[in-house]
Amino acid sequence: MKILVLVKQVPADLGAVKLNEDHTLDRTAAGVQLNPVDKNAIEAAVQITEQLGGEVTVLTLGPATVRAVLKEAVSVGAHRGVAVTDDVFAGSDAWATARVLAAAARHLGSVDLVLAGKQSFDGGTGEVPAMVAELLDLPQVTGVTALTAAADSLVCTQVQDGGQAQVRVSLPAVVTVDEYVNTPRYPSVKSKLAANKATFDVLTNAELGVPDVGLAASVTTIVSATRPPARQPGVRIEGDTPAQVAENLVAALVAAHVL
Amino acid sequence: MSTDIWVVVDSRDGIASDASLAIVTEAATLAATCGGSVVAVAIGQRCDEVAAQAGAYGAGTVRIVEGAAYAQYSTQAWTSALAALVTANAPGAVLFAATALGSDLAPRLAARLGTGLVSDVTALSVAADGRLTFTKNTLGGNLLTQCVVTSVPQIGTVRTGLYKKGAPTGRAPQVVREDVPAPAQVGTQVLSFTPDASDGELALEDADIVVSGGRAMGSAEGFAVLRALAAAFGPGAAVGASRPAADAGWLPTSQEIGISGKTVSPDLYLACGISGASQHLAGMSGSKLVVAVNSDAQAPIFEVADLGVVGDLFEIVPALTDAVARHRG
Ligand SMILES: Cc1cc2nc3c(=O)[nH]c(=O)nc-3n(C[C@H](O)[C@H](O)[C@H](O)COP(=O)(O)OP(=O)(O)OC[C@H]3O[C@@H](n4cnc5c(N)ncnc54)[C@H](O)[C@@H]3O)c2cc1C
Ligand SMILES: Nc1ncnc2c1ncn2[C@@H]1O[C@H](COP(=O)(O)O)[C@@H](O)[C@H]1O
Repeated sequence: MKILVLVKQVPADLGAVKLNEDHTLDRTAAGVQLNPVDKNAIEAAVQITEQLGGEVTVLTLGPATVRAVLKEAVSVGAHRGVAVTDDVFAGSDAWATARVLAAAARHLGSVDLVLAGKQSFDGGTGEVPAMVAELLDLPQVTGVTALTAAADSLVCTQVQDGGQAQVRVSLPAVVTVDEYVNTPRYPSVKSKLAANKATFDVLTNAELGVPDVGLAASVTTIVSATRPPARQPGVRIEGDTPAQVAENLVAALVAAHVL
Repeated sequence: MSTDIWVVVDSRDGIASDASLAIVTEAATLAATCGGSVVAVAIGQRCDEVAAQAGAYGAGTVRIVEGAAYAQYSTQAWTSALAALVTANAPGAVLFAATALGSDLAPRLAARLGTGLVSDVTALSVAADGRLTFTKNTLGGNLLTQCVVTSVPQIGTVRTGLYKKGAPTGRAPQVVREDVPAPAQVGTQVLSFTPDASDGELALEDADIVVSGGRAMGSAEGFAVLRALAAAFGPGAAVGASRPAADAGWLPTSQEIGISGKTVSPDLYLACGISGASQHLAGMSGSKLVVAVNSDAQAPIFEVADLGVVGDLFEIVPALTDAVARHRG
C-alpha cells in the first residue's frame, strides 16, 4: 500500500511566537516541532505498511527548516520524506496550503491512502486535509480514533455528535486521525542515526506550477490581531473549615452573578 | 451578493442539535443588523421536524434535502447538496456549528466552492460593508484575531457552547423542499452508530455551569460528589472530565473537555482535582468564571482560575454542595 502522510512543522512554544505590526507572526524564538498528532498519523501509516506491505512517504509544506520534521518521521519508520518549500508560498492560509499540497500529491503519483493529523497545534482546525481531499476528489473520514486496514478499504471509528460510528471508506481516501488512534513509537538510537543521513526530495513551485500561491491566493485576511487581555490574578478563597470555605465561595459566586 | 446568512442545521432522528439552533438564534440577530434573512438548511431524514425547530429559533426559511442518498451522513453527498444550493441562491455567509459534522463538512464545502473559511469562531459581528467579521483564538489562546473571508460566500464554523439557543417562538418557517441529485457513488458507508451512554442528559456544550473532575476523582464512584454538586446547582449544570478521568472510563468520553474532547464556554467552570494542562485549558478557556479546587497550591490551574481553593476536593466539594443547596433554598 502506498501511503502519503501530511505532516506540519509547528512552533514548539506557542507563547514565544511574536506578533509583528503587520499581523504576521514571528516564529523565530518559538522553536519547532512536528505537529504532535501528526506523529499518530505517521504511526498509523507505518503500522499499516507493516501489516500489508508498502511504502510511507511524508510530505510537508513549510520554510526550509522543515527538514527536521522529515528526519523525525524517518526515524520512526517513514520510508521517504518530501519537503515543499519555496518563498512564494509564504503567507498561505489553509486554502492556499491545501492547493500546494494537492499539487505535490499529484506530482508524486497515485497513492492508496493519504493520512493526516486531525488538527494542527498552532491554531489550525483541521481544514487542510478536507480541502486536499476535495482537490484530489477523494472520500474523507476525519477525526478517526481507531482504524483497521484492508487492501481496498479502511474501517474507521469516528466520534460523531452524540455517539461513535463505524465508517468504512473505500481506498484511495483521505483519513485524519486523533491522538487516541495509537501510541507513536520512539525512535531508537540506530534509527535516529540513519535518519540523520537520510536525504529528502525538495519540491518548489518550479516543479509544481501552482498558478496562484501564498498570500495572494489566500481567501481569508486577518484584519486585527491582538494579545488577549492578561487574566487578572485569581483570588484565593480561604476559611478555617471546609464549611467556611464553602460559604465564602458561595458568597463570591453570588457577587460574580453566577449564582 | 446577498446578505442572507445560512446556517446548516445538523440533526439526528429529527432532533436538531442545540449547537446549531444556537447559531440560528445568533444569525437572526446578525441578519437584523445587516438586512438579510436567516435560512436554515437541513439535510438527512425527518427534515420537517428539524425545519420546525429551526423556524422556532429564528430561521425564516428552511431548505430541506431528503432522500435515500441522505439516509446517513456522507461528506461527499452533503457537500454536493450544499454546493448546489449555495450556487443557485448565492447567500452571503454559510455558518456551521464547530461540531464533528461541521468541522468535517465546512472545509470540504469551502474547497468545493473555492471560498474562504474561518473555523472555531468565538464571536461574530457585522462589518460596515455588511460582511461578517469572525473573531477567533489561535496559537493556543495566545492570539486573538479578527478575520474576514474575502471571497463569497463567507464560511464559518462557530465554537460550541458560546452562543445559547434563545427562547423558541411559535413561528413556522417557510419550508422549501429541494431536489438535488446526489453523487452516483460516495466512498464512505456508516456501518453502525453507537449513541453515547450519557444521551438524554444535558449536553456539556449547553450547560451554564460545568463541574468537572480530573484524575484526583480516583474512580467512577468518586464522581458522585461532583454529580451531587451539579444537582445542587440545578438543571443548567453538567458534569465533565479531564482526559485521564475519561480515559479511565469514570465518565463517558463524550464528557471529556479539552483539545481532544469538547469545547465548553459556561458561565461557571469548576475544575476539581484538575492540574490545568494546556490541552485541558484549550477546551474551557472561554468560560466566564473559572473556579479551581486543588490540593496543590502550585497547580497551573490556579494561574487561570478567578477563584481558587487550595484543599482536598473530597472535603471542599460536599461542603460546597451543602452551601449551594442552602443558598438556593
Ligand atoms: C495530544 C494530547 C491531547 C490531550 N488532550 C487532552 C484533552 O482533550 N483534555 C484533557 O483534559 N487532557 C488532555 N491531554 C492530557 C493533558 O496533557 C493532561 O495530562 C491532563 O489534562 C491531566 O489531567 P488531570 O488534570 O485530571 O490530571 P493530573 O495532571 O494528574 O492532575 C490531577 C490534579 O489533582 C490534584 N489533586 C490530587 N488529589 C486531590 C484532592 N484530593 N483534592 C484536590 N486536588 C487533588 C493534583 O494536585 C493535580 O493537580 C492531552 C494530552 C496530549 C499529549
Ligand atoms: N503545511 C502543511 N504541510 C503538510 N501537512 C499539513 C500542513 N498543514 C496542515 N497539514 C496537515 O493537516 C493536518 C491538519 O492541519 P490544520 O488544517 O492546519 O489544522 C495536520 O495535522 C497535517 O497533517
